[in-house]
Amino acid sequence: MVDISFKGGKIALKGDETILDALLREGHDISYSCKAGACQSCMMRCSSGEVPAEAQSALKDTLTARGYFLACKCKPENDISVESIELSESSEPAEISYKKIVSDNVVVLRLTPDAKSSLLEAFGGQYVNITSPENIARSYSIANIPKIDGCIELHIRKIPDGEFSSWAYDKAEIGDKVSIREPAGECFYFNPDGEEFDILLAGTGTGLAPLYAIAKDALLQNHKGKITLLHGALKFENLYFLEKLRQLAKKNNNFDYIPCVLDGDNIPDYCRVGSFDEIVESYVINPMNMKYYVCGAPDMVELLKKKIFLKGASFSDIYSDSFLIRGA
Amino acid sequence: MSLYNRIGGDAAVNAAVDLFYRKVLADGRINQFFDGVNMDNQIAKQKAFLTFVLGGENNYDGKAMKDGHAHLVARGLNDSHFDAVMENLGATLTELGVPAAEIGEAAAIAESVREQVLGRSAA
Repeated sequence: MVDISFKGGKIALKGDETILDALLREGHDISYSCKAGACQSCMMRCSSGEVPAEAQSALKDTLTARGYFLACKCKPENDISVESIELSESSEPAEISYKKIVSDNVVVLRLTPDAKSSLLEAFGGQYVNITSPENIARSYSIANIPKIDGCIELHIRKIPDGEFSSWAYDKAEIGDKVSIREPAGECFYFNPDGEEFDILLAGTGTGLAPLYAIAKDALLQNHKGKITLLHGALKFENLYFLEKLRQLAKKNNNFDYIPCVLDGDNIPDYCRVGSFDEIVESYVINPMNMKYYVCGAPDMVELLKKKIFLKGASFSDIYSDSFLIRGA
Repeated sequence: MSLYNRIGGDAAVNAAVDLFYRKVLADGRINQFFDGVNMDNQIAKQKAFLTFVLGGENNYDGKAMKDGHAHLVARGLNDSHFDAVMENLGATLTELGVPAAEIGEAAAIAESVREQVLGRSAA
């Protein structure tokens, strides 16, 4: 008989049951949907024991390496310990080492963990969950390459009455202690074989943060192919990192930066004016040989993904990150 | 050997999902039902659906089909929309070079859930 250890208890697997079946039978609240290995809602992590290959065949290498598997496809042959994904994430201390207000509502923070911390292995573009000294936690995207800078940079937009963002914008000081949970997300540059393709990065507001990191990472790895970054804002004043990005474009022939605004007066020539989704769409010129990264407000992200997909891109080439705003 | 394996298993289904979903989203007869849905979830569902009609997995249960579409039936989902989906499915498989006889097999499997999707069968 095979036992599953979960949340301090043991459950004996019956007959032809999967781990998901057994956990649900015992009344555990496990998220799931298709029960066919397609939707990945029931992904869990194995903390000890062996996961059958079938329970991992649909997952990316980066996940199987860390013990993730699909509970609906998992019929273990020996005893196994499993945990929900939230519980497996551990937290590490870090200190604010830099703070700069870069526009009327965006603050940049750099957080420095221990020099040996595995947090510095995170990919630029993934996100981390950070807890403030006031014990409020939120997730933000990594805007730099932590391994190179020795810190994690976040771009935080001040939301009216937002508890966390008000702290970050108004109160946070260099030296403040925070804690950070393990990086997650699939929105990052990954091209170990040095393949040649064009990259389109499109985002609004602080959606720039992960895109900026992805662009820098691709350039650092001598990406072959054109990289185009489109940053959208309502007004010209809402754009930030403008000079930094224009300089980056000057230095790199294969990198283009196009700031986009919806409308306004006295807008410089290098800015595109108009509806952001239409501007983005016009840059999808070779849909099958491009990769796309789309970040920012959820409605815009969904709209852009749909438009890019309808232009002929394969859905698996579209990476995205929606920034959900938790009730202010 | 199931049609799913004959046409190339998981990899073939991934290619089919892109084609199929693009056709569905571009089809003015049915795309209003997909407004505002999360594309990642939807792609996963389309993949489960195509895997099912190609005979790969049979984990589609009638109750889930009925419950999953009830809100759309309330918004007017009917036989004409189901027919449009069937047409897009056929066009997708044709475009992928699946022979007519096999397309017939897939269509018959898809057809078998019509009553549940449209909420006319107990499950």
